[in-house]
Amino acid sequence: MKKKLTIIIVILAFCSEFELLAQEFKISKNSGRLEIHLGRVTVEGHNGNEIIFSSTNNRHEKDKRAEGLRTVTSLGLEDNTGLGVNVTTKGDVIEVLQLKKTTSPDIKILVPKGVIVSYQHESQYGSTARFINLPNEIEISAQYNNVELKNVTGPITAKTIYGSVDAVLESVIKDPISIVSIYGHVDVSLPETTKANLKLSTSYGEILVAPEFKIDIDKQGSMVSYSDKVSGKINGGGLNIDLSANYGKVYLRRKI
Amino acid sequence: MEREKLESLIIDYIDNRLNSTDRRRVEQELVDNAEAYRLYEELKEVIEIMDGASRLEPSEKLKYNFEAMLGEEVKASKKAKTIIFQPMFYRAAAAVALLVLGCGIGFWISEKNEQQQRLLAIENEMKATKLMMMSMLDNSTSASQRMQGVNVALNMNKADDEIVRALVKAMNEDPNSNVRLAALDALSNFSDDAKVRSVLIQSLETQKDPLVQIALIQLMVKMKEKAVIKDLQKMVNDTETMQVVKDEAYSGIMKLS
Repeated sequence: MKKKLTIIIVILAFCSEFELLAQEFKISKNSGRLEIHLGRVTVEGHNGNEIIFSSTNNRHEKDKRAEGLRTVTSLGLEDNTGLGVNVTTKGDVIEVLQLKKTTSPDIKILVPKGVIVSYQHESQYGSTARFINLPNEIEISAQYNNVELKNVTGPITAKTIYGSVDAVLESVIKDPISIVSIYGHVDVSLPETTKANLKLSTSYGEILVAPEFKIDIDKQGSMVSYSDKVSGKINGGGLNIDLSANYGKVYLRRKI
Repeated sequence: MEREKLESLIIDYIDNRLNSTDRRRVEQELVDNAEAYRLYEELKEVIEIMDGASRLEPSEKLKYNFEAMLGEEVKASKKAKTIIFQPMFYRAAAAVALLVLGCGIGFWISEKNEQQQRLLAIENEMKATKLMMMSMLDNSTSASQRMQGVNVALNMNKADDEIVRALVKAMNEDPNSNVRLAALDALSNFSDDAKVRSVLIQSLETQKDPLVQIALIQLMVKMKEKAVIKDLQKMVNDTETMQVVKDEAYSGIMKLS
């Protein structure tokens, strides 16, 4: 009995410490642009009126030598969030920058509906940028990052050079959807009934489309050109959806 | 006083149509100037004769003859009318013909109006689309709005200078790669135009966006634009050029030369 109690106490203590670690930083904002310059990040939509930053770093390695010191960067940035990132507001734009050049902290950002989410990252020290449950406009400009988009509506403009893009779109889509990768793949799941003007292109890869999508290929004159560029309508046409992967493959799937 | 002016004043004086000041002036002139008085005498005589002439009556015989002639003439013309329109058939035919002609003219006018209106509507629509496109392209906070602006141009068959300029600006300067790429795509639709072609060739030199560089090289190959081989060589030798772009430039040189 005593043993059990101690276990419970230990667990409780651990949990409370864990909670302490999960810090939060909030900015009240439900319009404008959020510009994220982080190596990796998870951005999620929520119904509030605040942008909420939190750390998801469970490992939390403490550097004893760093106690009492602060990180100084060449950009003169300060950790004003306690999360290892700097957040500054410039008019209608909120900028999020990481302090360390190579290791980006694990940050989760909850974003209200009206904010445009812009992600930009050039350095090779990064990993995946995730965007989940966002009815927001999303702009992504990356070099090395992989991009994951889940239950998003668009409009989306996304490019990554070495990374790949996986996207699952909601049933109500706002165009334009433009996703481009040079070396990676572009994998998009669309609801079967989506009315769209598709443009799928690859230079050295392949274009793979689910059989449920009957593409009405645009003819130029009386000729149909079967090439590395397919442009045509599905379900009568409508939304502009451009997918392109130069060296990778383009996958267009039916959303289940 | 000038003769002409004097003459008209005297005529008015004789007809008694002058106000008191003018009247006094004329009388003074007549007293002072013998010439004017002579003119007055002459004019008065002429006017009196003219007045007298109007009082002449035509003779009875003349009147009778004239009336008889008039009667005959009326009868003759009446007869002629009845002859032309006697049969019902002609009347009906005339009515129908008139109706058809009227309708025809009506249709023609309305058609012309409609055509004009349609032309005007198309013109207005074009203007509105252009305005919409330009304002969308100017939206600095939303890349997708700019993208939609560029996509408007995709559906145009012809682009005027203003649109081409806006698209070129988007292709060369937009901070978003996807927008640049879409602008290039829209411009490539007009690549038959010599101006657009030269703008595309120019962009190859200045373009720094690897995505657009690749797409541009591919377009040049498609257009069989041999003039860009030098630019491609420069890109290959430039240390700042990304490897992917270099590869594409190499393949471009191979295909073009």
